[in-house]
Formats: sequence, structure tokens, C-alpha cells
Amino acid sequence: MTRHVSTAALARFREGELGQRRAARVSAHLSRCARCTDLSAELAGITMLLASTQAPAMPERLATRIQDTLAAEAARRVALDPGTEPGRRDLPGRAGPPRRRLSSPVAVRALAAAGAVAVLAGGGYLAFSQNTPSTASGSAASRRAGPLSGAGGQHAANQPATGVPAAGPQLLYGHGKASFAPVASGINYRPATLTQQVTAALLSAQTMPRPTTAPLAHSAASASPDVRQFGGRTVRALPGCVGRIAPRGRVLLVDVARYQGRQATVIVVAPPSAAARQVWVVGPACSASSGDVLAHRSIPGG
Amino acid sequence: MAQPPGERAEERPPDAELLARHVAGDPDAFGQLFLRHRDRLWAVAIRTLADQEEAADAVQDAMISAFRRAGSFRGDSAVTTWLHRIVVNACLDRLRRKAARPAAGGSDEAALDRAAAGRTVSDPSSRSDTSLDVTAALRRLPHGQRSALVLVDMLGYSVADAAGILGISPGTVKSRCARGRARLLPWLAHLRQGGVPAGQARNRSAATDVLPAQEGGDNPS
Repeated sequence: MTRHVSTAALARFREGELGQRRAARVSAHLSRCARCTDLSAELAGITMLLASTQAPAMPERLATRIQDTLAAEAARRVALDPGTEPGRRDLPGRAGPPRRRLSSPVAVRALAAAGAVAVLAGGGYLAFSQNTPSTASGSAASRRAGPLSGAGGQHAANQPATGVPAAGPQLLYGHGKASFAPVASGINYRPATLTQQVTAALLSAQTMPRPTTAPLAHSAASASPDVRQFGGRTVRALPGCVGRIAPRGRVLLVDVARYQGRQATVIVVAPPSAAARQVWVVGPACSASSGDVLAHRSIPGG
Repeated sequence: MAQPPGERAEERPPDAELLARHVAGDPDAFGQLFLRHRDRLWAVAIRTLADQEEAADAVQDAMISAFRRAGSFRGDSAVTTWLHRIVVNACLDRLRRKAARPAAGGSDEAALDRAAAGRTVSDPSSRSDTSLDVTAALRRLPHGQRSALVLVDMLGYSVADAAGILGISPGTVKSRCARGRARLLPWLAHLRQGGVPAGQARNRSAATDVLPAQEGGDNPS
């Protein structure tokens, strides 16, 4: 019997950080040692534990304090150097008359709030797809107005393009080895209710008619990625994003939706060896090279 | 590309454009950039420093620094990476300064001892206990390991992104993460609920040695 592997060596082995020969020895040992295999699983558990520990949200008073400080800094800058005042220079993207001051923190907050109201008022859950093949039955269609929003299943203001599919096409990710079909629920996810909203969205997604079309061929999927539109948005980065967020495990939900009134995608993953489902809320910048993670939760599976 | 109707183009200009506007004198652009990224920057800071006021100070210092240094941003990394790097550095500065002062880690030690003694296992549903234990354990890690684990394991950044943020090689990120996880294991193994059931967590004591574990000796029932 070979010697057991130390925790430190096992952790480095798991990161691919051991030399080839040592890695081969560890690998051989793991194949016949339950104890070290368990230890390896426990190390994986540390990662999952860390991932499932929520960071407390930034207290509003602290956020306001920083925003005020930045506003003061901006005012100071203008006072020190009036030449940099907007309107006296050609600013990128600011041709024409000065814009309304929509972008001050308060205005942005108000805007976000207004957006959230619009979403909640009009955001019917469209669990029906024009892309869905004819196998989608009437009973499936009757389920289209899901339980997730106040209003019924009207086409919402936040789904401007008519015929935007609510159940999207199968998209390949992870080097074409796996696929997922995004949905556009119109939900405005919120930190306080994220768990409940995700649970409801998962239920609705399960009753949604699944596209039975074969996944887009990999070449076709990558041929004209820029034109991929879904949920009123370009989602060309979505497969890369999902591959990054969920390199392992089963993707249960990809919802092209909103979070706190802003564009966001909610990705729910069932990791291979965990009871808890991992919920990732990512911003529009999420891609194969950047996570753009806005929030993360771990919710009980079931 | 045409914006879909209803999408206000000015609602989400790219980060780089906001930064350019800021450099050109737009008084609102930087605030917008902060608003956009504040939750993630905050998560990094609060996880690294484990103290609200310290974390807020670090984020504030970092944002003022970024505000003033924006003109020197060369665009060789993403704006978010750059912002994260400034926040992480502000946090590490604070940790270093704190380390130079006499340690006040008694509460951490006590929390970990309690946890290791298995007393919190009786209430596995308590999220705050878990969070406290994780926080306390993280605080005992060397700063480099802590910041690598905060970025990669807690906040889900890729090794490459974490390397960019920390200004170290991906290999160093990996080895810091590996060493950090190995250190955390004996402190946190009792919190893992999804994996080995508490009564069978026979390898908890194995974390620190390479001898065969004693079966089931470490979990008072």
C-alpha cells in the first residue's frame, strides 16, 4: 500500500499543480484509497462551502456615503479645473446638447426603480415559444401565464420585439459537449426574494415546453454569433458565460431576465456532487472570459 | 448593432466609455461606474476584510484612487479588472497595517475552537453560524491565500481573472487556492452538510496528517 496523500498535496493535485510523475502517483493512489478519495471530496466541499456563503449586501448608508464622496470629488475637480466641465470639450459619446442628468446616482436609482415597476406591472411569464415546434400542445400553451408575476401573460413592455421567444433555442456550450435552452421570464429578481423567485422560475421552466429541435450545430452556432437575439437582448456571449459559470454540473435554468431592475441572467446549476443548487446572477458582461457575477446563492435541491 | 426598442442606449454604455467620459470631465460617469460594479467590489472587500466599516473605507479609498488615476488607465485590462485590483490592493494595505498592530484575534480563535469542537454541528440550519465560521477561518489564512480564495472560490472569478486582479500568475493563484483550501479543511470540514454526513465524517482528523485516520473518533454524538 502506498502512503496516503497529504491534504496540501491533494489540494495541489486537484488544481493540476503537481508535477507529472507525482500527479500520476497520486492518481494511482486515489484509485484504490477510499480515505484519500474522501479527503479529495472534502476539499471540493470547501470550495462549495465558500461559494455558498453569501456576502452581506452593501449597507445602503455606506453606498450612499461613497457616492457622496465621489460626487464631492467630482465637484472639487470641476472647481479646480473649470476647463474640464462637460460641454466645454468634445466628450466621447456626448455630441449635441448636454444630456439630462440621468446618470447622477439618485437619478439612476430612480430609473432603476421605475424599470422595476414596469417589469413587475407588465412582466407576464411567457413560457411559450415561437421556436417551439408543433409538439407544443394547447395545454402547454395554457400554462404560459406562469405564477411569477402580478399581471397575466401579456407581452410585456420589457419584451419589445414581438415574437421574442420565451423559451429560447438550444445553445451549445462547454466545447459543444452540453446544451441549454434559455428562457426569458421577464422576472425582475431581487436580492431579498431571489431564492423564492428562482424556485418559482424553476417550477415554471419544468412545465415549459422544451424545444425538441436538435441543438444548433456547433458551426452554425458560432457562424454568426452576433445576430443571436433572445429576450430582447443579444446573447452571443451566453454559451461562453454558462460554460464559465457552470463548467460542471447540470444547468437547470438560464433565465435572461433582470436583477434589481438591471439586465441580468440567472443561471441555476445542480453541481455533480452537492445537494444544494447554485444560483448565479450575472450581468450582461458575462462571457467565456469574464464572470460579471452580480449575486450568488445556494438553494436546497429537491 | 441596433438596440432593441425600449432599451435606452445611454443606460449601459460600456465601462471603457464611461471611464473615458470621466477622464474627459463628465462629472457623473465615474459614479455610474461605481454604481454598476459596487456590489461585486463590495463583496470582494467585505470578504477580504470581514469588517463592514473597514471594507467600506477600503472601497471608498479605492474609488477615490481610481477616480484620480483614471487618466493613467491604459486599457490593457478590463475596467472591472482594474477596479477590482485597486479594491483588492486597498484591502491588502489595510490587512498589512492591521497586522502591524497587536492582533485582536481572540474572537476568531474562540469561534474556530467552538466550531472544531463540534458544537455548531447541532444547528446546521444556522446560516449565520456557517458564515461566521467561514469568516473566522478565512481571517486566519495568510493574506495571499485569503484574497485568492475570496476571488476564485467565494465569488466565482476564473483563475485567469483572479490572476489579473491580483497581479500574479495563474499558477500562483492556483497554488494559493490549493494551500488555502488545505488549511481551511480541518477548520471547516464540520460545516459541510451536502457531502459526508456528520456521523461519518471520519476523515476530519485526517486533514493534518498522513497517517491512517481513526475511524469515527472525532464526532461526539
